[in-house]
Amino acid sequence: MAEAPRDPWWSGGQQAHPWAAPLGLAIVAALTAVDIRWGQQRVIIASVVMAPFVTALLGSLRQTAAVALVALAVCAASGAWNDNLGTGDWVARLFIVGAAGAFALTGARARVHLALDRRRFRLLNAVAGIAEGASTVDETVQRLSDLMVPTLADVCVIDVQRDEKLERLAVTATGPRARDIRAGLERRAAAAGHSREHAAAAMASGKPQLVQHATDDIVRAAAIDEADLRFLRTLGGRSTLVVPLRARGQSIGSMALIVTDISRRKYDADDLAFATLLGGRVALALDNAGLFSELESLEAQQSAALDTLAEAVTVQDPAGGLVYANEAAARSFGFPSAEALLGAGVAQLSEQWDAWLEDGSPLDPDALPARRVLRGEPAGPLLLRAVHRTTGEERWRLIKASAVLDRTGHPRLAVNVIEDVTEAKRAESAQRFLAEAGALLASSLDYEETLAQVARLAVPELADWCGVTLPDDRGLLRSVAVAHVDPDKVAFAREYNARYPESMQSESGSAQVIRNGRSQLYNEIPDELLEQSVPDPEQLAALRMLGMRAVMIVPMPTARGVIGTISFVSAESHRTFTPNELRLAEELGRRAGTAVENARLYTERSWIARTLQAGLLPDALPELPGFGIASLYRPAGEENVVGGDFYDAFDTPAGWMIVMGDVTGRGAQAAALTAQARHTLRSVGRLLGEPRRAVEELNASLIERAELSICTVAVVLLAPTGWGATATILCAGHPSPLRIRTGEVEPVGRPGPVVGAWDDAGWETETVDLLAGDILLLHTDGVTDAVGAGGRFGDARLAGAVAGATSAQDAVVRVRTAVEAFERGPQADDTALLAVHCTPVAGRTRAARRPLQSERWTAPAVPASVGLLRGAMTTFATDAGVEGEALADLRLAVSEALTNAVVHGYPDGAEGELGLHALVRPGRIEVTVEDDGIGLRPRSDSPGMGLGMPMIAALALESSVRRGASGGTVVRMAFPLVADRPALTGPRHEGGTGGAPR
Amino acid sequence: MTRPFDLKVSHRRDGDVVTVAPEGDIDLATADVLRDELDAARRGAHTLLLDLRGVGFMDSSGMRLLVEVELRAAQDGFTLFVVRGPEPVQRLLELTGLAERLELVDDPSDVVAGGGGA
Repeated sequence: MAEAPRDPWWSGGQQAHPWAAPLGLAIVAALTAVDIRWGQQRVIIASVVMAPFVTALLGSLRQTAAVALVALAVCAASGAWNDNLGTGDWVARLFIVGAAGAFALTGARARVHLALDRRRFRLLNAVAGIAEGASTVDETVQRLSDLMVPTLADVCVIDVQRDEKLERLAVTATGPRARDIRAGLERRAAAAGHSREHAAAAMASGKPQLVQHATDDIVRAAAIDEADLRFLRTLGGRSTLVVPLRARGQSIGSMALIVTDISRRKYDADDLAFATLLGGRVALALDNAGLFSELESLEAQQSAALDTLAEAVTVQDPAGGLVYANEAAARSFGFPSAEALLGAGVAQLSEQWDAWLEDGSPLDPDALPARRVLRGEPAGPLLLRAVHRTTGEERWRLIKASAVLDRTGHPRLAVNVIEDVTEAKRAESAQRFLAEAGALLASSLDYEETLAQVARLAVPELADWCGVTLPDDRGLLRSVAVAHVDPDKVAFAREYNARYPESMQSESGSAQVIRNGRSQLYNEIPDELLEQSVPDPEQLAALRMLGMRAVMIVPMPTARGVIGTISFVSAESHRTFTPNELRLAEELGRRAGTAVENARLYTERSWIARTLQAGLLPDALPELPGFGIASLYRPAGEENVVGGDFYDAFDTPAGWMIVMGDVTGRGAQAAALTAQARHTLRSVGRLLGEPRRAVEELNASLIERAELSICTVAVVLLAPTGWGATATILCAGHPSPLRIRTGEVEPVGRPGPVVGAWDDAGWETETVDLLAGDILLLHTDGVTDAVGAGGRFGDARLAGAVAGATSAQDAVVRVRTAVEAFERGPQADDTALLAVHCTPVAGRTRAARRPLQSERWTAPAVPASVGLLRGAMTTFATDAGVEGEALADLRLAVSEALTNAVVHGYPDGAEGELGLHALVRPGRIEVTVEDDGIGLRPRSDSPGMGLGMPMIAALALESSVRRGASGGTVVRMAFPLVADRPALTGPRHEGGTGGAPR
Repeated sequence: MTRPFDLKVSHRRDGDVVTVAPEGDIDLATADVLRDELDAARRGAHTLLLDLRGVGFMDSSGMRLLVEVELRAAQDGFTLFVVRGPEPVQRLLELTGLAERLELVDDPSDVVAGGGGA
């Protein structure tokens, strides 16, 4: 903007040097004195012409004229002392001085006009500058008014037409009474409504009004009343110019310029012309300001509307700079006010917030909708996850942008609407997360793998790290799952966990959470906290490498307490965890706890089932002189709760007693009942040797029980005779035993009531003969009730299967084979078989002739040992008289047991030892496989698909699994010593190429 | 003489029929050897013939391998034939129900002669 002239150019000395006139007069006086002294000899007086010239250079027109006149007068007077008054010489001198004075005057005038023009130009320029600047009308008016005073007037008044009313927007005055004048003029405007003023006339005519000399008459005419007249008189207006302000053909106001006693100047026609020109410019400035103001008020309205919006709104210019932001935007971005946000700018925003796309990839700023629309590209909404670098606060933002186009169609501004969808997004991801986790947790009983998957699910959505920790038997916390997007970091964490296992005694972290069941949330992890909880400097350094920002540890609670923890760690994302996220994590912990517990219960239950079942059955069937005996117990399904079938064989004073029973129901109660039944029958039977007394005693004891406890039993007393034996049979609600004699199958025994139902129940026994070679088969209804494609297995199929049996073992195997071939799908009931083969002493088995023998082998727990030990076992078993299918079964079962020991006992290449023990007993060979590893735990990558144990159970006469003293697993198996069953069809290769020794 | 737990695997290609014949015991220690051999041999083969006649012993480690190959056959679209092994091996297949799922043959020449289009 051009610099506005601040001083007036007329009045006492318009651009006049104060010494201009005195200097000119001094020159005149000095030259006169010189002339008086020496003037008669030389022409000196004419040199006074210098004086008006000097004055003209420095002073005003008036000063120059005055000095010129004095010089002329002195020159005229010089004739008196030079004695040349009236002579031609005097006249000539007088003429020179007069002419030079006139020249000086002309020069002074030209100089003053030049300065005046320059100043007018500068004034116009200043007005134009105001016109270009974007300000409000009030500001503009005040600045214009200030510009006029004192440059052009002593008082300036600007009235502007606004809202159908003429308002006095500016009064500027100069001089000592400026304040009174201003107050008076403003008051006057309010009182008079300008009706009598020249302003009205000027506006009405559209022409400037000039009052060159304000006479008292004119002042009186202008006065509203007496008080106003007094005011106008004190104002002392000498000359007045009123300029109408017109823009775009419309009158928008007027500007009055008044000269008072201060400058004592008079406006002339020249001033009028300039004022007209100036008026045009002022009007233009006011018009612009008005337009701007209209725009501004529109923006103000919009901005007010935007300010109240809940959505964050920002406006960016094409360079990306922030030109507007509402309060919601400020809140969303963490600024105290919109002004603070605008002051911070986009650069600081991107410094404070890390941003990722929904899929976790970092944000490319060029992909922001605002940038796109400013480039003229279409831009859909963009969902962003932003994390504040210092506070760790996480926000989800949905950003939509639209462009404001200029007249040429180019984007001028981008308007962003930023919706904070954090809550919705969190709720959605929490739901999805829990749903996915729930599906995972329900999908598998292999809980360690499941937990690993859940941990992976939590990363990076919920945290940078997720880990699951369970306490182990040794009081250490074992990390069963660690997840991070970076595999290297996972490896690092695994190594860390392996090197620094946390003790259950630890005062902090997971151990504490497991003990007290309360979650922990640290959104700040000061270094002191780390130092406090980790005394080992090396470990501390490793922990620092993780760069933890926030940690959340939640318990996995179950009905029997906290079984472990899930930890969530925020590191490189710098985010913190909200209370909602803690709740989500806790919910996940609960679900994981339930799932783990279910899996563990299931695994444990089947473990218990096997162990318990083994306890309910005799450890080994005794050798019955004169009888071959074989049994089978097959629980329904692979992993099972305890079944209710039991059998037993023991000696009594009267002979051998064999028992087969079936307790209704399953589970712990059935197990207890089974134990009671078996042991009652055994103790009473052993003492008395009478099936009926044994059953009656059992009946009495079962009736004493609070809840209805019933079972079915078949009890047989075998009494050897010279030619064979007699069998005294009692059936209490139980399927009748079958006697197989030379291919004929006959049910024997008299049906009687179940045991435990009626206290007055009575049972009748039936005694039958058993000849040499006869087989007596006891079974539970699980055999005949087995479900196959053609219905139930039934008595006929059972009879058919067993008809050709040649030994007790053969009978059992035939029935088993037939049932297995018949049945389809999982069976509801257990199956138990017990067969005795009447073999008078002459027909004793080969095994019975052999001395008892046993052997023990050990080998490192590595895969190669499986074959080595199997080979040793094969040699031993062959020597002991095991052959054919029994040998094949034994080898397979032993191999499975050894494989299990290597795979499950020593995962991840842990070192250990395998033990194999074989013991030959009458009619059977017992094998024990033992390891000192970590015990049998579910494992997803089992090479045998988890079939090992069920296969052993199916192959062996009996099998059991238990936890050994050293914490390892002990698998016991028994196999028949005599393989008296014909081979299955198909080629028989004993060993193949080096397959089986000998 | 090879030790009892050793496994030798030979393979032969007749047209697009590849015959893989393991000899020895298949267990935890040797199943991986056979797995690698099978993977290499069946590449590009239209028909895979796994000859178990030389297998003296096999446990669930071998069985898992058979299940894998069987699933792979369905997935990758090659035909798998298994030549019945000695009784203990056959018994395992029977015991585990795998015998029903596998295409078992007694004589490999049936398959080879038929060009695998059995």
